[in-house]
Amino acid sequence: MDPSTALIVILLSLLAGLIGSLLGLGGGVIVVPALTLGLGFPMQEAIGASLIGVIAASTGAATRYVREGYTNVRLGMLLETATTAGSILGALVAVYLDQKVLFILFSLVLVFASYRMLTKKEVVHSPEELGNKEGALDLSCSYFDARSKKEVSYGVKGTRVGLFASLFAGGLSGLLGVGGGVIKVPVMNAHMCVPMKAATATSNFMIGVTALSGALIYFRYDLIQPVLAALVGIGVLIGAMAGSAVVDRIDSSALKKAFCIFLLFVAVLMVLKGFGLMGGA
Amino acid sequence: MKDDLINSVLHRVLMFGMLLSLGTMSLGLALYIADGSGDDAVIPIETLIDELMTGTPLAIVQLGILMLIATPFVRILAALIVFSIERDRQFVLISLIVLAMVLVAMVVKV
Repeated sequence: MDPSTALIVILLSLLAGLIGSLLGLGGGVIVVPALTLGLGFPMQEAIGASLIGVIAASTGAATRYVREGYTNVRLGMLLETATTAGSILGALVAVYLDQKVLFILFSLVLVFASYRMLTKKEVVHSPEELGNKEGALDLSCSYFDARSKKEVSYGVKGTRVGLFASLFAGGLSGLLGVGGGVIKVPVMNAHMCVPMKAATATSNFMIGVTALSGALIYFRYDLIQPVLAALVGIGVLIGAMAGSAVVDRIDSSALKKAFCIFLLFVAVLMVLKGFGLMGGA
Repeated sequence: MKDDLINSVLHRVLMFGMLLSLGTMSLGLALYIADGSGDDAVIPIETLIDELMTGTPLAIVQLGILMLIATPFVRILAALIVFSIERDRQFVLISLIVLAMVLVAMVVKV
């Protein structure tokens, strides 16, 4: 890789990590289009590098979330049984799929992610509902919410729906190099009674292990280019840490709207690229 | 709080893995740039140790990536140990299933 490309890769990854953590998106949604559309890397290599970036971002954020107790470790590990299975299947399919299909699937994810970002609203559950525990596993958890200065306790329900959504989210991760939080977070919040803050932290926690399963498969098919992956990993990690340090202090709603429009534009470009109408695929 | 032990153990594992891999990748990249060979072919895992012994910059980059990938893996092992100490049988089983999935990802090839 020539030095100027390397410099662009690391700058784009820094930006992806920063914007990703400010908007609650994983870095993958930004890294993959940047590498394929911007720099002309093949889709599979971009996904492989993105998975490394996703592991880096997840690990970086998890160190903070786990310490502060937002992460529901038990719930995370239960759902990981499904995300890892999905990720393995997704990655095995992706290494054999035509790039064209991957470009089109990725653009669908972009459209869904921007839709979610515009309409995202926390489902607030009643205290009775939060206290409601069901099933044989005790997944209840609590954390101290710094904003309201209150201890938030909740019980978890709907583990079957959660496992199913996790399988799907893991599949997307292995297939397209994203984290899959766009599926898991709303499902945990709306269907499993998990407050948004805990759902986000728990989803992030799972992403490391999920992306690990996918990355191992890309690794063995020689699709993880070391220099590219290391640049993306370092860039996304530093960008994400910078973003998470300021995220609670700035209002990102204007940035959010602007970025949704940008993501839709990128989705169109991905489709064009997939059909070879933009510099060939 | 029931989760104090697992949270503090996992926090340390993740922090250590993150710093170690970040440092190794950065060192490898710095040497790679200084070396200026521009060779960026993937080094097969079988020959990685030999290449590391001779100090090939790209091998150090790849070692850093492997450390980063290994961090969530070690995190599963750490959780398994904590759940075993706490005699939480259900979650020992769940940790073992997640571990088995990752091992499948390591060996599966179609």
